Amino acid sequence: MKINIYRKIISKIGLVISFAVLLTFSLFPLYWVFLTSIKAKKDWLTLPVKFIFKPTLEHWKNVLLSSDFIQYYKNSLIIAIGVACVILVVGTMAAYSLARGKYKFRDNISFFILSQKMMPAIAIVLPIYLIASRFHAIDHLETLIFINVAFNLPLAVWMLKGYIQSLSLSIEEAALIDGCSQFGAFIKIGIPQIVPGIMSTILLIFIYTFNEFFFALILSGTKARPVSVAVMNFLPTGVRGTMFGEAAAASILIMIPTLIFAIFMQRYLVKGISLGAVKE
Amino acid sequence: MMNKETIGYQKYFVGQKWYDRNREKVRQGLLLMPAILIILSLVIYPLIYSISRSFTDFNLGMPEIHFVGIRNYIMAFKDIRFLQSLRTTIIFSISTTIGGLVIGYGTALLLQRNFIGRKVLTVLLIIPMMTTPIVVGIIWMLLFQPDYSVINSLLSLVGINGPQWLQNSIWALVAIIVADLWQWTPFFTIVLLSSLLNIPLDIVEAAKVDGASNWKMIRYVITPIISPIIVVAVLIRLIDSFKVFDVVFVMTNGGPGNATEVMSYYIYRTGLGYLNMSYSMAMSFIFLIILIGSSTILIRKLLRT
Repeated sequence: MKINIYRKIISKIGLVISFAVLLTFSLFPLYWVFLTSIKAKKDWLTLPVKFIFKPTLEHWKNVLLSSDFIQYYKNSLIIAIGVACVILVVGTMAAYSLARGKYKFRDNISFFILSQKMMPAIAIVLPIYLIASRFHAIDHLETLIFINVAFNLPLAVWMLKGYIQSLSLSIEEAALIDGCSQFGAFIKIGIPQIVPGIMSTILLIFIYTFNEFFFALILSGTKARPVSVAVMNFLPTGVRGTMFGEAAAASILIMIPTLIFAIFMQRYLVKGISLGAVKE
Repeated sequence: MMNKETIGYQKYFVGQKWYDRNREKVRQGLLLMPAILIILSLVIYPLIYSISRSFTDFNLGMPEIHFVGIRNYIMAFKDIRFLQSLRTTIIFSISTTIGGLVIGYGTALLLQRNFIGRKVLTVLLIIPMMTTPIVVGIIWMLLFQPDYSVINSLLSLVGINGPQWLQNSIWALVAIIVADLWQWTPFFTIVLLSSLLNIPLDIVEAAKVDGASNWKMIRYVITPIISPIIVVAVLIRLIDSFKVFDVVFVMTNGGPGNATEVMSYYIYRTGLGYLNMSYSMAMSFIFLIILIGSSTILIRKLLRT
């Protein structure tokens, strides 16, 4: 009996310790970035590193007031919202067609669309760069919106298709009798039932686009540069032990929208990230 | 007697009949068109363009283009730097996937028990996964700074003299793997956790009645049940980590030397750094084929479930 209690206590302690380690690993880096963003230069250049110091807002001021960061942030938001809107329309149409359509090759087309998810960005971005520069489309927000739409569409269609397939047809059939077309019935009756699914798909696409770096790096100049590329401006180049304050403050600002979304909808995110392999 | 008009009418009529019969099919097909057009024009056309250029000596610095056959492809397989980048990518990809699987599965098993605050803990543990990749790079670059930063400082507390992380060719790769592990271990945690929670309770109870120890339970009961999900998760991560770019770009720029130069990065550098477009396009096509091979397996698996 006594041994059993000891074992229980030991396993409890083990559990607590392992969670402490895991939590430190996952949260300490974020905490450290926050500390860096409010640390003055004199506190940064000391050994051993300081955890307690007088905070300063100097880096935040530099980022928000005396740089074009806000402008770049706006670019990012425009691109991400644009992509989300286009995908909402185009993706829902395609997903409906693939979920309900009765034409030939439907499953082959599904397969083709999903397989685009595996396309490495590098294989597409070089020719896109050449084609876009021929049409003078480099450094335009529209270009970035279109390329992000094309790249995120497969995931969106795949997720939306799953939600549409989960709908029961009988209610929509009732609307057909009232003279709706099939797609009309879907819009009026089907869509309201899957609003949470559509929202989570669109938010996931928003996050992906907001976080996107590779296309933005190659296809944007100074005008259409989104924030993921602009943050590189704050990184110290070459010199060791230089300041990271501005980069840290900018990083936190970039993380905010995605973290807020992510925390509220983590359950749905899993489904999207794992391509729906996990059933709820 | 049929005159022209009635023939025309009949033809129209035949078409009309076909349309009436297939109206829904046509409409369904039309709904798919925008998506297909976008993918064809922005993914497939550039891809074909790129493949066709990969058989030439197209270089951004030179005005003329000549057909050179498969010279670029032969060059790639003789190019030590390309093979090195392939090796680096494979090492990176396998270690981050296996590391993530082990830590993530362990975490999922711990989180599977019922205790107060489990939900909050889960959310806290998956935060890294939601972090912007470029920011992940910045965070870890900051942590791995050699002189005035925290990792070596903490290591020295335990008496370890930390290496010059990002300046050392072996440790730089380790640093990048750690950064990627930090971001993507939660992926395994949460995917495996949700499948663990879906295991029917009676199976677990039955094994308990049979006197299975915790370890035996995990090894012989739980793992076999969720193994399909494990396979899918591993494949997704293998493919995604194969395409890594952002973290490397921020943390090491492929350096020191080209110790952390992964494939995406080498291809990018060849095309836009050295302007040798045709060669980088050839390499990106090889890269694509490697990815298609592995992803076909994944998609077949997904479609079957």
